[in-house]
Amino acid sequence: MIDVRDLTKHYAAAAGLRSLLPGRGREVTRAVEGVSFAIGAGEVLGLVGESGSGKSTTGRLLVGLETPTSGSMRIDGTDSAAARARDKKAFHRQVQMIFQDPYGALNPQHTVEDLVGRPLLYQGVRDRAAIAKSVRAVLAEVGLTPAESYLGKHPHQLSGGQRQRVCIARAIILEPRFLVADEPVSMLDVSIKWDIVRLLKRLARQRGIAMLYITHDLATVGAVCDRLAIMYRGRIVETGPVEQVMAAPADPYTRTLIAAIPSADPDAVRVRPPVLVQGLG
Amino acid sequence: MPTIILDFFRAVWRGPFGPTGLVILGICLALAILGPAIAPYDPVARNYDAAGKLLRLASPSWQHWLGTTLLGRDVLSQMLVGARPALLVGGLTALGTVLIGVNIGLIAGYFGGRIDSFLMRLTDMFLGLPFLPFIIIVLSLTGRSLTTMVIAMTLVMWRSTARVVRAQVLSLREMPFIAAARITGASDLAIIYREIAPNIMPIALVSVAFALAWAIITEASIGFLGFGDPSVVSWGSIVYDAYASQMMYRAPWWVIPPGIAIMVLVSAVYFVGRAYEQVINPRLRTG
Amino acid sequence: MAGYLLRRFWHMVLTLFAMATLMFFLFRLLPGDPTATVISPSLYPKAQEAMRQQFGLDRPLFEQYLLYLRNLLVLDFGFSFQTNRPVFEMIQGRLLNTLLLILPSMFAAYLLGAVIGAIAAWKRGSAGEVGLVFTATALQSAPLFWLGMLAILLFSIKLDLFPIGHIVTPGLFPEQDWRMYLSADFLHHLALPFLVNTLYQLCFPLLLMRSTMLSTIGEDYIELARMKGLSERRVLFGHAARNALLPLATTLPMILGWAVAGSVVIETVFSWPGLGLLMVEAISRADYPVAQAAFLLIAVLTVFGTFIADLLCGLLDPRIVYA
Repeated sequence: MIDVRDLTKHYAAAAGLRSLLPGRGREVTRAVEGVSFAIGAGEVLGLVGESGSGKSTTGRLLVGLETPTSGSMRIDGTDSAAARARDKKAFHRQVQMIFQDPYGALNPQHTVEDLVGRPLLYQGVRDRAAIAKSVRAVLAEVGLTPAESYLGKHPHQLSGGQRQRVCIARAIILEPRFLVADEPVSMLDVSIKWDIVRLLKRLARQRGIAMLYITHDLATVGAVCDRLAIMYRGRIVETGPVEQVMAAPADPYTRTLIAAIPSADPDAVRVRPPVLVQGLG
Repeated sequence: MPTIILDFFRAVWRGPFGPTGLVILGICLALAILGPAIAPYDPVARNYDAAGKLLRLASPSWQHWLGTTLLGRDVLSQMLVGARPALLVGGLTALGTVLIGVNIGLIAGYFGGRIDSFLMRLTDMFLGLPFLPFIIIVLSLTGRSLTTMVIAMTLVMWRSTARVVRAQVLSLREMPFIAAARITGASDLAIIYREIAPNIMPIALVSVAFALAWAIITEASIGFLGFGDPSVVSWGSIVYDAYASQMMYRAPWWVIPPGIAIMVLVSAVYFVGRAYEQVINPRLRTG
Repeated sequence: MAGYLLRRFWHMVLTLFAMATLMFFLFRLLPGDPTATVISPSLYPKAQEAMRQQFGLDRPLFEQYLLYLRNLLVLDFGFSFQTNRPVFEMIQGRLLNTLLLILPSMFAAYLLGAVIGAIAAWKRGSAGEVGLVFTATALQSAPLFWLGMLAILLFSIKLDLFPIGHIVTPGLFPEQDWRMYLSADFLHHLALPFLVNTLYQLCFPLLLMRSTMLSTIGEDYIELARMKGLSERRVLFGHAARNALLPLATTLPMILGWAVAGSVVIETVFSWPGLGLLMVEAISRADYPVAQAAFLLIAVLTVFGTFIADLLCGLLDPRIVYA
């Protein structure tokens, strides 16, 4: 359903004095280099890599916050760049994103009702009663119940977990086909992490959303992802079903990543890291 | 918007200075509305004593609490009537300043690039414009009226608000909630006015306060220099009349009250502005 | 650094150019008769006609504008309506008088303001400090012209300590004689406007210094200095004050601009023959060439002062990058 091909993003590096020397082209930073993957409806693909690996840039490219240098994304066979050029609003209805920082991602001046309802408003929905109804429905769906008690609250009156639920509600109110979750739990307490992760998985399944779950933390991927793509220096170095990648990583970089998982995490027991010696042998 | 006004009062009401300032502002506002009605005499009428002699420079008495001017006019009545132009000119200028300053700051900060450089170059130019001399020149060329005064003052005062707002917008623009709005299909205008603008309202309110303070002092200064609207009695024009008559040093009751009135009113504005600034900027709270 | 200087200088020139342009159009377009601001109405019709040609007033507006710019560059501001003398002759002495009053006063205000503000921060919470902050706010809120008049009322009229106005006792020196600046009589005349202006201008740096210092008190480096066992005085004056100086310096350009522009008021009250008073008098007499030249000179002072102050800030603050 979601088909990403050869996605590439180069940034012009800050023009140092050296770039002025003859014979030197402008240097570029290759943030994303020929990334390809596909995600089916209701499927969750985990995009794993350390910071600076280009995974967040990939997410921002896919939702249209940045423009790719080359490459394409197709949603149900339709090229999204063309679709976006034709009808920007329609494109944004299909593709949504959840941000890493639930504190910065919510406008501090708005109430929960505003925050969750705004996307509909920006999409041109003028029927206030319909907006109010949708807001209540999605709040209940993300577990903020009773919805009425949250409507008038401002972000600073909510806990981190509640904020992230509001962000999720805002992302699904437009009923997107594709959802990018950029490190959605990395800033939350351990106790809340798993609730949010399970919520995301349930939403993907129930609503048939294709989800790209971006993380640097392999501990949570087992609970939410169906497949994994490991990213290193702008490239995908390994893909495969989550159990297979975790149990028998083929790429040396994946092995070091997996070895670094803190095994003390009680929730991570489902997928035990393989013994390194065995992998090397 | 109404919540912001409500928050404003709630915030200012906390400190000791804030309420004092608000009460004084309230009194001045009441005077601006009721002043002409409660003034005991016509502020420009000549007053005579029982013998029919003109009351020139009469010192304060029960009939004339603040004495009379060289032309026998009642100073107290002039004071009461003079509150209106001070607040009217000050208020309208502050409003105009904030409207222009906030919009230019929003647009420059949000769009960045060439629009930003152009608008900031423009702001710098206005920043180099000598404030009072410019207003005096404009007033002398276009005729002295309260309207031209407000326009001329607004023209030179929006610049500082624009800079403050722009700086704030530059940091707000990078917040994830702006990206979040963008990917729901919000237009630039919607992002500027629905997402960013509510967050700069507090700063805009502070700049209203400081613009108001400056505008009141400037209005008085213009009146004192003799470029005020000749048909309007203002606190500044009272001092100007005294100064121009060369009699001011013989009649302190004529000169001291308008200055005190301006001082008290502007202090009140500063108190309210600072009290609010401390609430929205926690770093200042210790002070 | 050299690049930054050059660019900043170029901006300054551009700003002045824009201001000269603004003035040209203000003076030509606003009054009913576009020539009324250039040619004295008191001249004979024949002389008026001659001037009209000399200033190119019979030519299209754009040509007039170019001529105006050319004249500005060679400091030819035309002739005064009042005295029929070249304007340049009238304004050159005035510039020095304004600078002699404003510059020492601003210097003293910033120095004293910083010191008193630091002491206020040190003695925070005391009755004296609350009173000081209250007084400074009130002084800052008072109109400067009124403070000047009160000072004259008290010190010149009641106590007879200072002369009422002017730069020297009239008649003591021939006009525009530089020796007057070296006389005790000049200092005696300078004292009161200097004191009033300084007292008024020091409120802003005082309050700013105090609040910046107070806001640094919670910072880590202050806590660290405290933990090292330094005395409260050493912590405040050695660490907090030094870091509060920078925000103070960055306001200097703005305040200097205000002060130059505000000199109009103080010069009027004290009959101080500076540019501001010249401008006010010229405008009230409809002597437009003089008014315009005085304004442009005040504008040059403001812009140039801002430029110098900006450079000073750059020298003080290593964080400002000259890129």
